[in-house]
Amino acid sequence: MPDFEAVVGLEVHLHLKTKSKMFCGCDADYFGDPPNTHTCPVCLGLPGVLPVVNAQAVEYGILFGLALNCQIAPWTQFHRKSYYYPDMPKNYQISQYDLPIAAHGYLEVEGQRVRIKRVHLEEDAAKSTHPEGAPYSLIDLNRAGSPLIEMVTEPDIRTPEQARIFLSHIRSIAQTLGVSDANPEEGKMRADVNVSVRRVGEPLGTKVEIKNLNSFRSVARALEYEIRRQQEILRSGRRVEQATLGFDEAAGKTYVMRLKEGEADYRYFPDPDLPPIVVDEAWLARLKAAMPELPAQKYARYVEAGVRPYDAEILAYNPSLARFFDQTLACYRGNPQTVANLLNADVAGYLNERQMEVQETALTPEHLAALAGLFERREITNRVLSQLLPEVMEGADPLKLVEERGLRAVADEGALRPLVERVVAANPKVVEQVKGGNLKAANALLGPIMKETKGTAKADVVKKMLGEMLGVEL
Amino acid sequence: MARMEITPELVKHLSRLSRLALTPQEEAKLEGELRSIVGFFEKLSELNTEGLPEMARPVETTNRLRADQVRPSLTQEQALSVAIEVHEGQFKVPRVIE
Repeated sequence: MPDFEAVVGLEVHLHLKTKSKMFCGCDADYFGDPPNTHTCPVCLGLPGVLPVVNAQAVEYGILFGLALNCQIAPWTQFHRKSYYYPDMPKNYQISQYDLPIAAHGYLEVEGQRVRIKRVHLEEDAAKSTHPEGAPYSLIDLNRAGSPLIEMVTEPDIRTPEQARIFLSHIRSIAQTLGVSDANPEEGKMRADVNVSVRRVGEPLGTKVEIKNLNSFRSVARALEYEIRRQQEILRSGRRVEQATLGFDEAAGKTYVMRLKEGEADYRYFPDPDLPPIVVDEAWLARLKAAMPELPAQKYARYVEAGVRPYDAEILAYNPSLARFFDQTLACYRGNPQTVANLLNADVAGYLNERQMEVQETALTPEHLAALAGLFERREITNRVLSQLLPEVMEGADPLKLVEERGLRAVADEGALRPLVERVVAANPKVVEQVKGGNLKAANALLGPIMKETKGTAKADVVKKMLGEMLGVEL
Repeated sequence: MARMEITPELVKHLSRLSRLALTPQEEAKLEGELRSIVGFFEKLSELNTEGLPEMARPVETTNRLRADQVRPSLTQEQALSVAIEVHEGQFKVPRVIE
């Protein structure tokens, strides 16, 4: 019954890829280091210190805002958001409030426009752990003061799948810009979700918030579960209660973290330690000029070059594959679709199995171009291609391999005939089956021929020959 | 600006936000003190600020930015020297979740 629809908004936090923290010079790359070894009086929140804004973080915020078609604030400032919790040593978080660095943007997701409400800069909190059964919590301040972007969408998303694609596009954009690794597995990207359900055409329902989802899959699963739960409540005539929920990965269920009693009282006020930031035309123009080609533009360019939309999308939204694709096309004169096929099927398979990026392998754009050329000119068969791929991934030159091992495709019927005749003569039972109409049985004849020719015999030529000899259409 | 009413409820609300456990005597005392502090600031409302832009900082500096350069941090020992309690290189605090 399509009588209900979900209304979803996302709040995404991205860790910025700066060298130092947001307001002090502590090394922002603390991953794996001992606790409390990346702190100074500023990020410890000691009295009398003066935070100073990291210029790179501001530029990353502007770049990200521009990529999301936002208006960049000509005048922006930081606020203090007060709350008392041990992960926040100053008892306030420096964030942005009334004048975020960027606002009023949008991102097209599969033809649908998702409006971006705001993009702002802020600092991250410390990491707290709560050892099982202990009467205490432990605080590691390495993360405190790390630069974050918070991005909030308008409630324009309607399905879990749309949410997943939106997030993966955000990740691609952040990676393409180089502003964030945007890797949920390492905590570099996390999302909160707002979701309500209503009957189509009716006013908005009561929304609940699901906090701290750390993978795109969790977002989609949590949404699926929550939309179903709210539909059931509405169907039975009850009301959805406003709440903040967590998501239990193992059980695949949402659970109540705390019932919201009304807006928290953060007592925002402008941070007197931090002078406002004026983004003038010259600065903005310099950043616009430095904008790299974005995934949506890459996609359009690939489709224009003749790549199928399906493959163009996979490549355009994977910055590392896109870079390699472009490098390969630079030394390849054939059909780009052939290279796209190789990257998205064969190379991607190899990479997925090993959890690697293409840049981490010994594959060169020149070798990939050579392999694509051999295949496109039908100088090697599909089988030989698959056979060569692992070695080419490890740095071997495909042209050399083909020459040294005599792997050029054989399409010459005269050259293949003695072998095909020998195999037919040696398998009378199979021949009977094929003649009797069991065409699949012909594979038992194809196998030995391929083996004998090391995969170089062209399958379509061999099939044609077999068909003629046995009087069937293969 | 409207005059801020200091009520017993407001004092309770503020003490909850500040995570302070106050006795009824302390609440009553704070109520009086807050009223006189806020009253003192309300003197400012007597000024005519018609047409003046809002201002959050006393100086007109802008764009005081820092190049993205890493500077040495404190050692773990130095960082923890301000801690009341320490456990395995971390600040030890009263448990904050159930």
